[in-house]
Amino acid sequence: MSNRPFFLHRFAEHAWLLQFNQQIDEALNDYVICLGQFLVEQVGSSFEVIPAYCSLLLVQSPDKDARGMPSSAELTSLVNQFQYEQHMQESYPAIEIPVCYDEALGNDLRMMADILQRDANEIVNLHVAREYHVYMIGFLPGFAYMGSVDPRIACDRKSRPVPTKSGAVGIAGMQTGIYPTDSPGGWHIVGYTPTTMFDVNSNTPSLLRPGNRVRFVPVNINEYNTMCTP
Amino acid sequence: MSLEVIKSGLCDTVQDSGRYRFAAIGVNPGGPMDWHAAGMANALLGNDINAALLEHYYPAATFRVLDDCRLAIAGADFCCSVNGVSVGHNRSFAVRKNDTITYTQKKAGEIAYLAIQGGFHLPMIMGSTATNLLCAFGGMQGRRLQAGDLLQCVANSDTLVTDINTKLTFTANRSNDTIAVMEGAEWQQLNSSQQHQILACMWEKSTQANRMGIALHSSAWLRPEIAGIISSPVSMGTVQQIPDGSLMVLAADHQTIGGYARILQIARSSLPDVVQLPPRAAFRFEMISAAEAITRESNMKLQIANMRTVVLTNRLYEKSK
Repeated sequence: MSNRPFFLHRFAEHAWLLQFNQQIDEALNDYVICLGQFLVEQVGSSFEVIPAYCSLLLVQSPDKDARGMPSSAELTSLVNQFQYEQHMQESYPAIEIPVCYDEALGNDLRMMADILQRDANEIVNLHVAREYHVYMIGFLPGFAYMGSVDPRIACDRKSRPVPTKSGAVGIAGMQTGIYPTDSPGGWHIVGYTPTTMFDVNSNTPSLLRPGNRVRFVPVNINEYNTMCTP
Repeated sequence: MSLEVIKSGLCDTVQDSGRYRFAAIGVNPGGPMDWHAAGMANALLGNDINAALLEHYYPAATFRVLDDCRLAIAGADFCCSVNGVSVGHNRSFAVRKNDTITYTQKKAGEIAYLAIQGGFHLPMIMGSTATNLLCAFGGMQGRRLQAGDLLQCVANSDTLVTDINTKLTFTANRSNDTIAVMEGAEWQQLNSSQQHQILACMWEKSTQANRMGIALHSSAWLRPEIAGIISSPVSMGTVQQIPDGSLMVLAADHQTIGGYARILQIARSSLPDVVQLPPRAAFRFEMISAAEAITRESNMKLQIANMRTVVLTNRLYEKSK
């Protein structure tokens, strides 16, 4: 596969934006994530990359000299050297995340059943049936934007954000995600995971990284409660 | 222990130059709102530029000094006083055990920095001591300072009081009516008349300004032409055009990814100006090239580096006498 066309924009003194075709596409996103890792290996440890759906920001720490930023020609040449096939991530098995869909925990399944004109159990079954790709992490530390959900359970955001608990698993449009901390949130909540998604004291603070694969495993409320007690 | 908070302020946080290399997992850098003032506060003491210091909004906290130490104040002028006597502005000063540090009046600017010789000693979390208020980690237990907090420093206090550098000061080259910007990622998607309008009209800083963002309004109502974008990375200084036609400047505690059109990027040299402007102050944007932005930023960094060198050299000279 040849390299993807992109537009290079000098985003800031210490940053270059690589913008690819404006689309949410798993293959393109995986290419973006792998390219980002490759670029950071090439340009050195004072740089980091922020991958998103179809764009990538290459950022130099602002305490470094911006005159040491790669030029547009150097960056283009690096991107041209990149060979996706050689840098594709090994296909690890999907990360399994337990989710309790029991309405006793206070989810939005009934509201969604009304909106989608589907049975709550069917919504759960469809949410569990697929394996999801982590497109990017943003909004909150450790908040993974995953997709795509079955179109039959794609559900718009709520009209306004409401207080949402840590561990809440939600759907917004074709995306699904997990709130790693308590936060205002507009996604419709289907269930709760007892798994810690973000831990600042861990060497790998975020359980999920861009490019990971995820599967939700349903657990009942007793199992959920057991998993919640350390 | 060096300082004790005896009265909390509006928003006093521990910051350093920021938390980098975790943006891919959604952790924003944080760090100071005014990188130049924070750097100068540390430089006035000969500190590492990354040393942990305090960021104050007004009204700021009141402190009791627990051990003799040396401090520096920079950024906004909140009339920092020791036992009721003003210490001046943009300079370092010595304090003694049981002294009281207060900020008595908001004279100029919005955000002040208090550095301590050697830096404040706080746990490093993900490579930084900066406070992440959103997720409640870093700094002082992830929150604003409150009464009873004890702030430890890591300096030896023997030569601090008679430091030769007491008279050193500096002036921030502040622009009040012009903010330098570069083209944002979606700038070229605006039509030329809107581009012209954005650059020609006066923008007013809103009272809605905090560590997450600063809203800007203009008298000319600009209908956003770009509905939104597929969520894409942002950084401090990114200017988003939001659906009501106003602009949002992303500040230190911005999210890492955003869905609004990024029409401009404030030059690093102008970030201190934008954060220190009072609410309702009006200014124009000045479009500059990336090369020019880098030159201006480098000059400001040089001012910090030179101040630090002078402080350290003076000390060596003093010791050799």
